[in-house]
Amino acid sequence: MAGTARVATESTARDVPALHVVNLSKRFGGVAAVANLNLTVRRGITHCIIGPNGAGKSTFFDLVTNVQPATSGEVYFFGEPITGLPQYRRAALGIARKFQAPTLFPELTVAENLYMGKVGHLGWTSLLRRRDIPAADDQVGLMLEQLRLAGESGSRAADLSHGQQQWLEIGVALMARPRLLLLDEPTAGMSLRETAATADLLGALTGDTTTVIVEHDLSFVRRIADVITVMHRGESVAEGRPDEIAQNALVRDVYLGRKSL
Amino acid sequence: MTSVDAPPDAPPGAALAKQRRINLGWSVLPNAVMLALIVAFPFIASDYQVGLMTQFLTFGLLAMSLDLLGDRAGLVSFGHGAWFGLGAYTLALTLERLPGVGGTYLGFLLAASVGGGFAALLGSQLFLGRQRVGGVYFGIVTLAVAAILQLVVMGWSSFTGGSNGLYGFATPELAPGLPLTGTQAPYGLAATVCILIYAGLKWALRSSLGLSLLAARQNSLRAEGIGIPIGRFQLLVFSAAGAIAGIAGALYIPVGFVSPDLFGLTFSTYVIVWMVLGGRGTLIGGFLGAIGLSFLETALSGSFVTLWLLMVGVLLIVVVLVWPRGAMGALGAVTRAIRT
Repeated sequence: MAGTARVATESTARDVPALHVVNLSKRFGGVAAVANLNLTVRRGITHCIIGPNGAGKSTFFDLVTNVQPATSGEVYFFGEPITGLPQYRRAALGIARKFQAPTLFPELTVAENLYMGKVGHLGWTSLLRRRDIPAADDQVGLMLEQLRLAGESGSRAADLSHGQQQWLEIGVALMARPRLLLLDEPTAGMSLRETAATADLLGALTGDTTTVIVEHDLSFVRRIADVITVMHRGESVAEGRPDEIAQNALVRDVYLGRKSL
Repeated sequence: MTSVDAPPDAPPGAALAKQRRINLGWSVLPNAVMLALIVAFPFIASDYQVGLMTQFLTFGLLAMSLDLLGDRAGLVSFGHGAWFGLGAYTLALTLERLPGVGGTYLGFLLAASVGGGFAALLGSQLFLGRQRVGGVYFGIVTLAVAAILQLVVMGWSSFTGGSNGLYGFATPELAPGLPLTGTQAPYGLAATVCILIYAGLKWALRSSLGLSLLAARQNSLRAEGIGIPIGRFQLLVFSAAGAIAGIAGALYIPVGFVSPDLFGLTFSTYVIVWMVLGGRGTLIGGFLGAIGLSFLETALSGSFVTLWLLMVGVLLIVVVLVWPRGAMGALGAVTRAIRT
């Protein structure tokens, strides 16, 4: 992916980061899942977050989307403070998320799931006026092709395979044309071929979408990341380009000891 | 990898189109049968039966509003009869003070507003906070609210007539010289209003809003994640269900009296039983359950005075275990079996 070139033009043209968190913390009793995290995600890039289990990666996503309220700290989305804004309002602003485990509307069809991703943030009055047939919607049709799910348009989401459900959920997130896309382990449980297809799908995103990915598959991360942040015990312990992170001694100690990037 | 199972020559969406045709046929048939029965009923039944049917239609409308609440907001009210009571008392109290055509229309408007407004007020406390009150907790709250309303109605006898209820209020009038007396006029009004509300709801739920409500009930995390304000939507559905229940209560007024029993646990339990027996998630099932069970009760409860409630209980358990989708679900299974 042409990540480096994109970074250069984006950062000179517009300096406001897509996502910026300041001293963000989440405590459960005495345990800090996220501890004074400071992190900046520049516009238009693919920013991967890696770290051992329990490093606070998914909790970080929960705080950005307000699935859980932060204990302290601030979240800025394109320069605007959104701390305390409910989850559905953040979605309407352009933040979309794929959860770690497939999180879909199980009894709705594949096409209906995608369609909901497109219209879910509209208010009830405009939803009441809409009478579209989801399977006949152009944007849904296009996404079905991209996801290689065209043959499953009328299947219940619950009847898809695990990998297909992962894709469908990425598709649901993309249907809203989000400005910030948060993907929690998009390739978990996928075969090598499916993982490669996922990388292609994400690689085809335009510079209007900033992507943050939590992922364990390091070859996948190296393939798509412009920037990598390493989290450990709720904090950011290192950040840099993939080649920089691969050579970072501290990172090797806390996370990559057994495995080179 | 995804289209391996589909025949290579099938046009895209063919399976979906077929499925849609079946669904369409299945949704038109019971509606048409029901409509024909409602229109024909006063011509084929006795005055006594038409009078009963008028009441049962109002019960059906109430059960339908409970079904709306359950199917599209995932909420089961254990005190839904109270909203029916609010509507009935509102129209009766209005007619006491303002008899005639004006009082009738004002009373209906107030009945819908009081039912919807009270649900909105309660719902704003239950659904708009960070921790939404749902599931069994919502059921307990509605049960308590109904019990409190019943105590208020019983205690405030100067206004509500206390445990005697209200009677002797003016007869509602639809137009000068068209009072809602006898059996034909009340039946005509109840049937018309039920059909209009049912059709209106069907129309509303066929929109993307209806799909969003279904989606939100299936996965609230995903729904909020794509921007659906679940709490507000629950508030909307609860208010609509409250307003419809209020109108159903007002339609009950031609019976001639209202009593605090409408706020009681027994009546609210019946509403749940009607909905479950008729078939959840179908809207029309509420009517089927209310009308079917009420006629059965009229026929049998005279002979089995004490056994009747036990029989209803057993029937409910059997239906929940054998046909969880109720009469509508059983009808659907039979039609599918005939077709194949």
